[in-house]
Amino acid sequence: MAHDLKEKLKEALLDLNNDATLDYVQQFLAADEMTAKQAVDSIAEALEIVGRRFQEGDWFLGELVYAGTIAKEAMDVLTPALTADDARANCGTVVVGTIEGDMHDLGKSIFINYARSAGFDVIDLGVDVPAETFLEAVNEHEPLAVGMCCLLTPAAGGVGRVVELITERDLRARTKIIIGGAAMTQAFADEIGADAYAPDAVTGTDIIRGWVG
Amino acid sequence: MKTDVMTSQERLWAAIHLEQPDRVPLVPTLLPEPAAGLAGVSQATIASDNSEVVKAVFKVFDDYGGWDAIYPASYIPVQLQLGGVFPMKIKVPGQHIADDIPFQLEEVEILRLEDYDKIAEVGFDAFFNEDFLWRVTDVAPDEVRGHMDNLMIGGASFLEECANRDVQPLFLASGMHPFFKLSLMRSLVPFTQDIYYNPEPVERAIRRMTDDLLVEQKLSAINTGLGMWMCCEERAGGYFFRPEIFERFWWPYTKELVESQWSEGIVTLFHLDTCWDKNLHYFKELPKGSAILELDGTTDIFLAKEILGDHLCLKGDVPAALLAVGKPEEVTNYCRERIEKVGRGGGYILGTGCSVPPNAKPENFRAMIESVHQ
Repeated sequence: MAHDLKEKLKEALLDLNNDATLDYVQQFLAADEMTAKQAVDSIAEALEIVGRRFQEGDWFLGELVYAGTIAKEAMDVLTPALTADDARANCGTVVVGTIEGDMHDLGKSIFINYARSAGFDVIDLGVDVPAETFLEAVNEHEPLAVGMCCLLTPAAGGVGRVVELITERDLRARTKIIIGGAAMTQAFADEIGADAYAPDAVTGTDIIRGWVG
Repeated sequence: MKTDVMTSQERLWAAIHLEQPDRVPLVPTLLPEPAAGLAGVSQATIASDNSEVVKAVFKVFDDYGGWDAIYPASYIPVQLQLGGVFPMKIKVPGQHIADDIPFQLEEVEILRLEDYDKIAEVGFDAFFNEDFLWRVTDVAPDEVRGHMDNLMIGGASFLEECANRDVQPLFLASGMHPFFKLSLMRSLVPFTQDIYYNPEPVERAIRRMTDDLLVEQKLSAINTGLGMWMCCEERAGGYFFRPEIFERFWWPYTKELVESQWSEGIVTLFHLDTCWDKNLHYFKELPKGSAILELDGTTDIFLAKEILGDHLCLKGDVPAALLAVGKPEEVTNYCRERIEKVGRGGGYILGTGCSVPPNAKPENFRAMIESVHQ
């Protein structure tokens, strides 16, 4: 039964069936022989397939976004039921925000949904975030990575400022920096000394996963 | 430096008609925000005064030696909201955000599921003006008329400045594709959910909005006398949605719009942001010469040339990031490659990917302008 339910949950998510996904999640929680952790693993497996399909061009951004939203809803239900050990076993903390001067939220939200569902603890700083706020968050949360989103080229200077601040405080060994959004490029990441540029949420999550020790 | 032998209009329309012009025509998308950047005016100034917008646009046009047709740009952001061009909440510099930040759109879920059928019943304009506008704007009802009067005055001034320089606007009639408009009003995630699980109301709204556009935009485009209208779409392509969705919710309506305009000899300029590689072959179904595809640098323009080169004109696609952070020689090389490969045999207009960015380096913008003369 455990195997059946895991497969059904995975397939419901891959079918983008919100109701069925949440129904199977409830079945997991109601069954004595099942654990919330097993349901989370099933969702993670489904999201890996979603990410692979997106990167290979078989799935599209709308589907990626929607799958991430369904997964988030499922995780919201499952998280309170995780044991303390399971909850501690997350992949790491990531601080994310859209840089000062830029109000775009969508790309950041797509990444956050996806990264959370993939097991990261994501601290969302919101949009229009000053460089100093990123630094404060890095000091407070000691994250594995800080991710900055920027879609407006006039705001791009702020991304470089965050890199400077984190570098000046000698925090680069502990925290990696990743950037994304329409105004960002690999060349810009190289120029400002960011650790990585991600063209999409799936790639970004994969890169950060590669940084997990 | 080559000598021009055609007029700007002859050159532009030779390219659109897939004939060989004397050189590749040049039409950068210079909107008020980049015009402010290049003219040294604050974003807050051009977001609050139509006359300052017109001044900035033509200062840049004059300072950089001009180009072949000019993008219509005489508006301030709130007028785009009030007119339903951007039916969303907006952040205006000097009002909601800092003076030096360009205006921005705030995509949040405001359109409700039941609104699709209201649109289908009364039409978009009535729904927007009587209901939806008041969910997104902070303009008081008695202030609307004044804003729209200023828009008309700004438009008249823009046309006068065009006439003074013997340059024509590229178009004056324009509309956002219903699919894109609804996606912005509803926001991406709920809209995606709707087209998967509640497709019928979405279709009914798109049907009604298309019917309205067929009448309004045809009349509008005829009245401008420019032979062109612009249709903006940034979400329907193969980056966002699979072909089945494109085929159901976008392509049939789009064909109707293009064919209706073309029956009056009016060309559709598609402003197509994001990657459309997977959708390019559909455009072969349109009448030859009936449309221009304006690409933003994420669609493979060389692939577009291969698939559509003998069928539709292409426009683009110098990326905003290149103009903002690149070097002049990189801009020149980028433009020259397109002029030589995409422009070969005609059917190409050099332009920017989406628009010139507000922080384009002057030397990069100049490199782009000069590249067509080399």
